[in-house]
Amino acid sequence: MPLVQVSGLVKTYPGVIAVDGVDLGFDQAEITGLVGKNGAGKSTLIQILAGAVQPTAGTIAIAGEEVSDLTPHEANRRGMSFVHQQTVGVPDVSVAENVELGLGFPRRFGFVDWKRLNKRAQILLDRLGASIDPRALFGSLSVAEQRMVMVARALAWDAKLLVLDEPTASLTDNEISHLFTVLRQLRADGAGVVFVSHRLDEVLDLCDRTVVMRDGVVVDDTATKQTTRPRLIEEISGTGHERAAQLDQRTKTRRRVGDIVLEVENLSDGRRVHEVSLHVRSGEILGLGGLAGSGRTELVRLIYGADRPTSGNVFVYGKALTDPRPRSRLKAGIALLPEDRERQGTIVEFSVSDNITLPSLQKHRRLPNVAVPLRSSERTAAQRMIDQLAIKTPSPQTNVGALSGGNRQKVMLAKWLEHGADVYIFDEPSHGVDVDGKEDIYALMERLADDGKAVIFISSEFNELVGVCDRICVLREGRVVGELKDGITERAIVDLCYSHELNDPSQ
Amino acid sequence: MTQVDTNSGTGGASASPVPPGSVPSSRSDRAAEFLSRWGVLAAVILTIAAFSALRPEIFPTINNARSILSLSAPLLVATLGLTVVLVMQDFDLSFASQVGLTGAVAIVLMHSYGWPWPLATLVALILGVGCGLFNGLLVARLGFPSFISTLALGTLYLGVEFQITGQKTIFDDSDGSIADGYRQLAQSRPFWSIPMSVWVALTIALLLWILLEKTELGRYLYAIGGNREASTLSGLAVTRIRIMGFAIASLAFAIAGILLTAQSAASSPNRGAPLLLPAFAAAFIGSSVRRQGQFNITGTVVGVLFLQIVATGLTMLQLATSVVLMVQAGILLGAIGLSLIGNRAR
Repeated sequence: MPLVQVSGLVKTYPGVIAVDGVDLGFDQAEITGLVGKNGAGKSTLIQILAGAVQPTAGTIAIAGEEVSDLTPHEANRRGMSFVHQQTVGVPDVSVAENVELGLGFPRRFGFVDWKRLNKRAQILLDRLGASIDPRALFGSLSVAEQRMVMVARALAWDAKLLVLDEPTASLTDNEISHLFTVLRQLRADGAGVVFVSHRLDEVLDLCDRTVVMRDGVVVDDTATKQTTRPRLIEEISGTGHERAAQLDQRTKTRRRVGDIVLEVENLSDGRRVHEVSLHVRSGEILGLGGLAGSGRTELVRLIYGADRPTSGNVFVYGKALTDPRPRSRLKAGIALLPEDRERQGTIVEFSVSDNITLPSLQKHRRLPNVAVPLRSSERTAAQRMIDQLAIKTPSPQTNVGALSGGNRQKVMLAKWLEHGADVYIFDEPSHGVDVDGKEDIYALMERLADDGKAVIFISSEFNELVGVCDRICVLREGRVVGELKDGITERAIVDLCYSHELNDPSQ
Repeated sequence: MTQVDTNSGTGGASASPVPPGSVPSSRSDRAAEFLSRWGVLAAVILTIAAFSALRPEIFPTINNARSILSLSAPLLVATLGLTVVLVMQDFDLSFASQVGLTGAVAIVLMHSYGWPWPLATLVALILGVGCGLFNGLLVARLGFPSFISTLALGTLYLGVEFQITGQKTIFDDSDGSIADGYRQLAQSRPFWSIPMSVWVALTIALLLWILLEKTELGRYLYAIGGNREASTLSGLAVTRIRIMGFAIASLAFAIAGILLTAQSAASSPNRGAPLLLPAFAAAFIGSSVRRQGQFNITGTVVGVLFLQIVATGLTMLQLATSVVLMVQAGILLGAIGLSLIGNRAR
């Protein structure tokens, strides 16, 4: 009997099927690798196991007993322990307290026995080979150290099934090998381990069994010994996607590519982006591929001045940009359409018209020296954009909050078209947009390039990149790991994304 | 009212949940929105009707209307200033101390130093703007959280006021040390026997209404209040605009301080303190008249008048202070609840 068995598991969100009928068992004394692209359904599956998300359909059986309405507390009580991708620790208390939070602290005369608490945490950290002081403030640790603490926390529960979501990201080789030793030891002690990772070499090295998910279903489930890296990549990227086929059929007319408009030189932020150099030319659509956390969003935020780089330069038409603020980057001709449309891209309680004219309000003055915009002029401009981009809105006065994702994306673009720019950076523009809306967005990007603009396109859906881009740079862990130009395939992008080696010199 | 055709969106399948600012979908939501938008106005009319019925001989009179207007003038000016800060989704809890400090400075300059009143008034106004710039610098440039840091700054300004006045009430010892011209700033009656303070307050209301509703700066202030990050990414000079917002607000606080001391031709310690709660209450009540629940000048004017009508009416009923306080609190909570219903519907 498996430790945990899920059957017919389905999770739907409005318009999206995240998990589409998954049957999986996790045995004791076994390490299972779980791989797949972003959006393949891994994280949702794990959140369901953790009791954080309720499935739409299907059952979960723990030790043969079916459990309905699993809560995080219940999941813990029944011997499951999780290390999530995002560290969820309490920054303002010590490492030891974080490790043992919820376990009940050791007591002495009714008070917390700090000595014993710290010692217990120290033992766990030592097992992981992590040189972290249990008395240090959790918030003062680096991301990697925090992750080690969360692993220690998972160990403290003495779990029968330990689930780790991307535990090795940002860990050093030494820490990774310690972690693997501990996981193997846990397996020897009879525990089950689920290891979610984008690093195929680690999965091949560590896991007894490898499960590949794609589009919400399990597409491959084999003993690791019997699989190979190329086969995994094949399964992860999949073939014969209807969307991919559709996109491949797009007639890519070769545009006349002109001069370099934007050039980035050794840009770093000291954390997520490391010495990135790239350029994009007039009339060109440059794709930025990579997995979640590969630093693409961070990179374009640096380019746009939304965050400050620690080193490196950004040039527009060969001129170095010194002032690192969005306001001056915009003046230099760079426009960013952020991934988070609600919080960064639009003002939801403003109307479509007010959102579109916000950066270019000065163009609508009644008198050139009086800072009073003329409403009618604004409305005309907004209406022109609504027509031009086919924004579906009842009127220019409708709040942006009432529009769908695709139309909000268009409002963001309309805002920049009204203002004018030479470089348009789209960060996941098709995220949460339906099929027709996506096609509209691709067409608009192509139109910009046809008009001689430089376009940067970030997407986690690689078929989009293949279908739209003239050239693609793939990022992994904050570095450009490869550039693809002619005969780009989805397979090639996936290959670069997973090109991590255990002995990567960059680590 | 915004209409949405759910079929017309490019993506009926927006993955994100419908954010605030969308449209009331059910009948009860629409009813709630109607209630919150017109509820405040209805409450004002009901209150007037109730007091008129209870005190027909003194409440519904021209004189009482004048008195309500002139009593509410300083509060109105201060609340108008506060509205500008609230529009940016910031706080200025130091405003009451600014009102006290600027009013006191004008009085002290005339009374103890014999300055001519126009100069004393000007210095008080400049001091007010200085306070605003300082607040704005700390909050917008250095990133101090506005709620707690303006609380601290309020204590600072109160300390400065006490330092200057020796924590004493300063008044004209019938030696003409507080110039007539200064009193006239609030007390003269240029038209229809309505005191100057009311005309000043209405002028400021008009100017700030133009600023917030008609100018580029006003749009930027609302944009920053709506979403600071999106405003930065849209290329607005967010820091500079926020500092300007604080400075404009503080100019209004200084005018309120001048009106208060001109009205009574005297300065008493911590004169602004009683304005603190009513100003916030009035601004919040006023925010419910807007569909998006934004703070706005028209709403603020209605809110201030409402509070003053309630206060005056309750005084006329000659209830014990204890009862007045409790009734006042009840009315306030009711009005805030009303705006909440609307905000939930939104």
